[in-house]
Order: sequence, then structure tokens, then C-alpha cells
Amino acid sequence: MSEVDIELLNCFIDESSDLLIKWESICFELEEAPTEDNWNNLFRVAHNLKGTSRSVGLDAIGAFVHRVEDGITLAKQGKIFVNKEFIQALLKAQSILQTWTQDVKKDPSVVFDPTPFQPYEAILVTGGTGTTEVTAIQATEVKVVEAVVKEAPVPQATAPTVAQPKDKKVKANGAASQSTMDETIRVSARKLDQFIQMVGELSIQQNVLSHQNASSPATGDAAQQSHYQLRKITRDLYEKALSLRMQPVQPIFQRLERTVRDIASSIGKEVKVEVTGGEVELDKTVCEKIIEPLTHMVRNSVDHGLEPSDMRTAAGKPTAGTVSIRAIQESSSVSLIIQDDGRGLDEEKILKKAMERGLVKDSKSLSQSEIFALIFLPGFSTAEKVTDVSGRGVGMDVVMRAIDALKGQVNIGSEKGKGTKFSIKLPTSLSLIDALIVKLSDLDYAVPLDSIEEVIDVVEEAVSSTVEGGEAKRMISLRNRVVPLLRLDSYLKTQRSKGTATSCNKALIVRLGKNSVALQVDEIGEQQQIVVRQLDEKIGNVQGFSGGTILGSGDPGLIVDVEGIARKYFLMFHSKEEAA
Amino acid sequence: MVRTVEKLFGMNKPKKAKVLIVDDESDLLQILEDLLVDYDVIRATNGKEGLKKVLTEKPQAVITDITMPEMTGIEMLMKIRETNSDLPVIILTGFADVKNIRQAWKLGAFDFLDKPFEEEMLLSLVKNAVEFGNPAASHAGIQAAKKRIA
Amino acid sequence: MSTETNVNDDRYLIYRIGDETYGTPLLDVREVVEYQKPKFMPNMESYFSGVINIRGSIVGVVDMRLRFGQTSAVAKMPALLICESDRGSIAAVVDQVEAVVSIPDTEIEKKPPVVAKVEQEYLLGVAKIQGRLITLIDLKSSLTEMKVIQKAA
Repeated sequence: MSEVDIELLNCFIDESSDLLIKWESICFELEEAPTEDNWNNLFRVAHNLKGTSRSVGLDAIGAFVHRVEDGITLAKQGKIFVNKEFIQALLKAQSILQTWTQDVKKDPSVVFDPTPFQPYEAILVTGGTGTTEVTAIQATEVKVVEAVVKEAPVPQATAPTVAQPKDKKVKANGAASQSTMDETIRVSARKLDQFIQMVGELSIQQNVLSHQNASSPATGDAAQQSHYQLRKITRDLYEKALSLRMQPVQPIFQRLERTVRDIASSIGKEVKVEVTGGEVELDKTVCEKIIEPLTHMVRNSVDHGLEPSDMRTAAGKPTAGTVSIRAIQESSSVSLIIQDDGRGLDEEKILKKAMERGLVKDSKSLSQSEIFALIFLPGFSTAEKVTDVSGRGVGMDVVMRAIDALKGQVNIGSEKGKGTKFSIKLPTSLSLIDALIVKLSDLDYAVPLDSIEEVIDVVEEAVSSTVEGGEAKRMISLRNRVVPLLRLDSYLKTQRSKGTATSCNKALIVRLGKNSVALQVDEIGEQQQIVVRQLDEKIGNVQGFSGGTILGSGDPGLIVDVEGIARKYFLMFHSKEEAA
Repeated sequence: MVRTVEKLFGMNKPKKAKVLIVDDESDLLQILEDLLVDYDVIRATNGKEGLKKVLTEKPQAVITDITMPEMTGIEMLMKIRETNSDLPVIILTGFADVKNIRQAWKLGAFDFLDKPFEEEMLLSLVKNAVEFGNPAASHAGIQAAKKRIA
Repeated sequence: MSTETNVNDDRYLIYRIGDETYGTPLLDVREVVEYQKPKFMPNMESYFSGVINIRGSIVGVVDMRLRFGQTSAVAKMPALLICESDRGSIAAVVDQVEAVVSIPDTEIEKKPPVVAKVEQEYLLGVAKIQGRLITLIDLKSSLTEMKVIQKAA
């Protein structure tokens, strides 16, 4: 075996990742339709992978892929019985390769080990050898497999709407693979980030300039004009730069699809997966960080959401459950939806469990969405029995935290007996947002404009004070509603929050589902477009803040997570109210 | 009459695929030819001759050594790609020949056969080449060749 | 410890905190910048002074004078030492940066009898230069591992 140098290795990892994604998606296609085209495509992918590995000296991989190639040839020629098991073997080969490429990325000395494939090795050749005599064991195996295969075409026949977007997806994929070959260039993520960082700095400087221009305007129309132009160009440039980091969600969806299939087969449930919107794009970081929460959610859907098939039949539902995974592009956000047609969330059970755990004391005052929101509390799990699949101590609270970190929002819709729908709304890009500057104890903070429903004047006449549970509670009437009025600084523990009451006559209305709160601030400043900077790990977990930015004045500023504060209020409110 | 007989034969046994083997060692050529019984084998002893036979004989696949007098296998591959982007070319390689492999892959080689080779591997590669051909196995090298020809 | 990588470099950045003189391996300090007033950040430990803007990135600031139990009296020329770790950058406020000197390993007393203020694990040793006692500390690790967020009440 020849030596492989690191640069070549990275080259291989780069190229192979695309190929492995295609490998997987073609396998899914083959499962539905083992056409000659699909076999050719899979052969092409495997063959390219082999050639690429050989050309960097990874001969062990070359030899491994070659054995798979032979299986594909036999399958295409019809010399081998193609069934779910065979496709599983092809997928297993893919996952072994994928695991290795991921491992070797971290540690280049990891040697490729094809032994996990040994149990599958025979499947790739059996059709070629055992033609005349079939032993009893083999016969039963084949029977089981046939039964599975028989069921497979059902979704195709009964649900043409499902098949349609899939076909589109394939075409899109094919077209992409044709054109990307010579029309894209690879740029290291580090270089790209440096570039975006610099454009970000340019944008900050531009903001500083605008800020100064506002306080002491430059003289002359020409100066104003060019200032305006500069502002526009900078903004465009920044948006273009950010778009370079955008990636389609297709690979994520593919992984989720795989997860659903794997779990379904491991717990013996029959599940149909519908995937749409794979072309919708999200920031690379968002893509990387959303995989885990989404995986957990689809896992829950298959494991807990969908009923066992006998229960489904009894309820008059199709035996196979459906999990649909969708992405929808909205103006400044992307919605990811995970929906199942299972049993739905059981409000009573959730409440009971929440009360058992002491998360809620009284159930009467909670609305349906508030009850659903309880599953996101730490330590909550709706599963009656701990299964291997999701009984691993990771609750929905972890999902919530991950989505929070991405400034996303989750909504749950569920109807008993009909199913559950999780919608996750994510910002398309994390980096550039419109924000309102507010003053608290003489310090400027940025509040994302998206989170603010409106800004109101706090008029004393509209404020009513009550004492509940030994604590003073203020409410403000807002048109026909009465919403709790809170001082924002009491949540941020700013220095002067203890005594001095400043003239807080403005409040931000923040809506969370059906509820709103009014957060009182000292002063409302200007509206600015800010570049979100990730705070480093050390200071990044401070409660109440979602990030940092450089304000127009050039000073660092903190971005207040008003939604998080509102959420915390509502969660604490219900338990505190009764605890007192 | 003759045509009918051929047709009958043809129905039972498909026409043999034509494979060109290029090597300056006649021993190796003989071994290859003996192994490729299911194929219609044509020989050449260097790249130049191989190139000529590609044009005149129109083989469905080529197996070539790298080091040969007059014209190397890589040079031949390069020349073939000037006019034919699809012809699958299998390269015979020695131990740890990564550089050559890399270059040949970039030029659109179909596959590589390490010397010494096993019969099974040889037959498997040739079978894949004839079955799928390079259009199926198109990779960056082939794409580039296609572009040049176009 | 971060200094392991710098075994061949015996240069130290010498600075003052209050009445005492400290030294830190030069290569552990990414840069020294002019003091700027940190912007207050709530819910943090008292020695965490806030955040500053270093060329567009937000960097936390730890006041070493408070960290070592001294008062943060306003010095004439306070400076910020920026250390970078894989967890991000962090700045330390010191009273005055004095010099960069080479201190050979042989001149360093690895286990000094008494050194207050600095936790033992961040203490690299004590060196005597021109009659002055210099406490050598692993500033980078100390900053990286320091807890700065106040526990929620």
C-alpha cells in the first residue's frame, strides 16, 4: 500500500463526500425503481469513488468499492436477486465509507477497515452463485424479503403526489452533478469565512460612517449621494458574501430519511417517508447544527409518534405510518417541518407527567399550546416505555436549546389520533439582522426587530398592579388584551436595576405563540442593521443574551434574547404562581 | 442463408466484444489473450500501434501497459481522448504507481489493474468496461475530454 | 499546559499588576493593545469587566487586578493583553507592560516557597532579575479556564 499524503487525503474527502451523498440517494431510488438508469448512476458513482481513491493511493478503499461495483454489475445484468436486503448491503457499504471519511478527517492515521461489511459481502455475489439449489434457510429468507418487496410499491401506486417531487429531486440532482463538475470551484471554508468576516467589517465601518453622517451630515449633494450608494453596495455585497455560505438542505433530509428507515426497520414499524423542499438553502453553520435536533425529532416521530401497525389498523388508518420532512422558504426565514400521522400528543398525559415532575402545579390555566410546550422542559419525556431508539436521556429540551442557539422557533400542532406537526422556523442566515437599539441603565443593547411585535408607550392609566402569590405583578392593557408588564433590566441584572427607577415609558411587545409580554426599557434608540457576532464559548452562555455585535458607534453591544426571556417568564410563571 | 445462421447463433450467443490489449511484452499479451476467451482480442505492442488500432478496429475497451517504447500508455490515452471521450481504457499499473494513476485518472482512464493481477479482477474490470463503458463512468477527466472535443 | 508548545522560546512579557511584577511566556500573548473601557455585561463575576471590540470581534475582558485580589485602582497606563485559545480570545487588564526579556530555564525557581494570589496550577515559577522578583504565570490557561459567568441565583 502506498503512502497517502494529507493534502491528497483532503482532496479525497472533499470529492468523496458528494459521491457518497449521491450513492445514498440513488440507493433510495433503486429501492423504489431498480431501473437500468439507476444502476448505471450507482455504478458511475461507485466507480468514480474507486478511481478517486486509487488516484490518491487509497488502494484499500479502491478494492472495497470494486467488490461493490461487481455486485452492481451483476444486479444490473439481472444475474442477482435484487431486494431490500441487497439495497441494504449497498447502503451499508456507503455508511462504512462515510464513517471512515469522517473519522479520517479528525485523525489522518485511521486505517480503512472493511470488516463491518463482512456479513454483507455474500449478498453482493449470492445471485451469481446459488442459482440452482436453494437451501431451506435461504428460501425462508427470500420469502420474508419478498413480502417486504411486495409492500414497497404500494406508496408508489397510491400516492402519486409523493412520487412526483421525488422525481423532480432526482432530475435536479442529475442536472447538478452534470454542471457542477466544471462550473464550481472548491474554496476552503476558512478562506470563505475570512472573506465574509472582512465584508462584515466593511459593513460595520459603513454603519459607523452612517452613524456619524446622521449626527453631523456631510455637506453637498454629491457626498450624500455617494454615501447612499456606498451604503447600498455594502449591503448588497454583504448579502452576496453570505449567500456563499448557503447550502441546500437536501443532504440533511437524506440523512433524516435514512434515520427514519433505519429506526423503522429496527423497531419493526412500517414507515413511509415523504421529503420535499430539499433545494431550500440554509447557512452552512445552521445546516451543521440543525442535523442533531432534527434527527432527534424524526426519531421521536417514528418511535413515539407513530402507533404500532395493529393499533393503526384498529384505528382505521393505513398500516404504514407516514413521516414527512419538508422545507419551506419564507421571506427571511426557512421553515422545517416534521410531521407524522401518528397518535398525536396526549394533553392529559403531558399534564400528568409535568405535574408528577413538579414542572406544573395547576393545569387549569394552561392553553393547549402551553401544554405542548411543556415537552421542551428539561427532563420531560412523553415515552411510556424506554426504547432503545429514543430512550437515551436526550429530551426535547436539548432540541429546544439547539434551536434556540440558532435563533429558531418551534411550534407544535397536534391532534389526538391524527398526528403531530413540528415546525421549526429558522433565520436563513445568522449573520445580518435588523435590530432596534434600546437603552437600559445607560447602556445600549440590540434587540432583533423580528422578535418585537410593536413598541408602545407605557401610560400609567393603562397599568394595573396586582399582588399575586406575594409578588407584585403589573399588567398593561393593550387594546383588548391585558399583558404582563416586566422591566427588561430585572431580567438582565444590570447594575442599577436594584433601586433607582428611571423613567421607563416605552415597552417592547414580544409575542410568544398566543401570549405576549411587554418589556419595559429606558429609552428607544435608532434602528440599525447589525452583524451578529458569535460570542465565544466562555461568555456565550450568559442568560438573556443571544449574541454580540458591533454597534454603529463602534462599541460592542449585546443582543438581548427577548423571546428567550418571554419564554422563561411564561414557563416560570405557571409554576411559581402555585408554588407560593 | 448465412445471415440466418448467424442470426440464430447470435440469439444464443451475443457477439463477442472487441478488446484491444497493448503491451511490449509478448508473454503478457499472450496471458491476457488466453484469459479473455470471451472477447475478440486485438493486440498492439506500443502506444503508437495501439492508437492506430483504436481508430481502425474500433474496440469496445482497451487494456494498456504504461511503459512502452515509441509511445507510453499514458500518452496513448491522452491521444485517444483527443478524439474519443468515451472509450474505456484500463491501465496496467505496477506497485505504488500513484502518480501515474492520478495522471491517468485525470485523463479519463476507466480503471486500473495492478500487476500481478488475478484472473477474476481482470475479467471483472473488462466486464464492467464493456457493460457500462465510460459514459456511465464519466468523471472529471471524461468531462474535460468531452469539452475539449466539443 | 499551553506553554508546552513554547519550550524553545524563553522570552517572557513582563508586566505589573499593582505592586507586583509578573511574567508570561511571550508567545502565549497574541497582542498587547491600548486600554479601552470595556462595555459592561450583566450576570458576570466581578472581575469580569465587560466586552471590547477588537477589530470587529467581541472579546471578554478580565481585570487581573481584581482577579488577584487587589483593588482596581486606576493606573496611569493600563494595557490589555490578548490571549487566544481554541475557545476564543480573552483580554486581561494589567497596570503596565514593562518589557520583553529572555529568562533561561535555569534562572527560574520552579517551586518557590511562597507566592500568594496566583493559583498553584497556573504558577510557572519565580525568577529574579536585577534584584526584582518576577512571578511567572501561565496567563493563557488561567484566562481560558477562569469562570466568568455568575451562577444563576
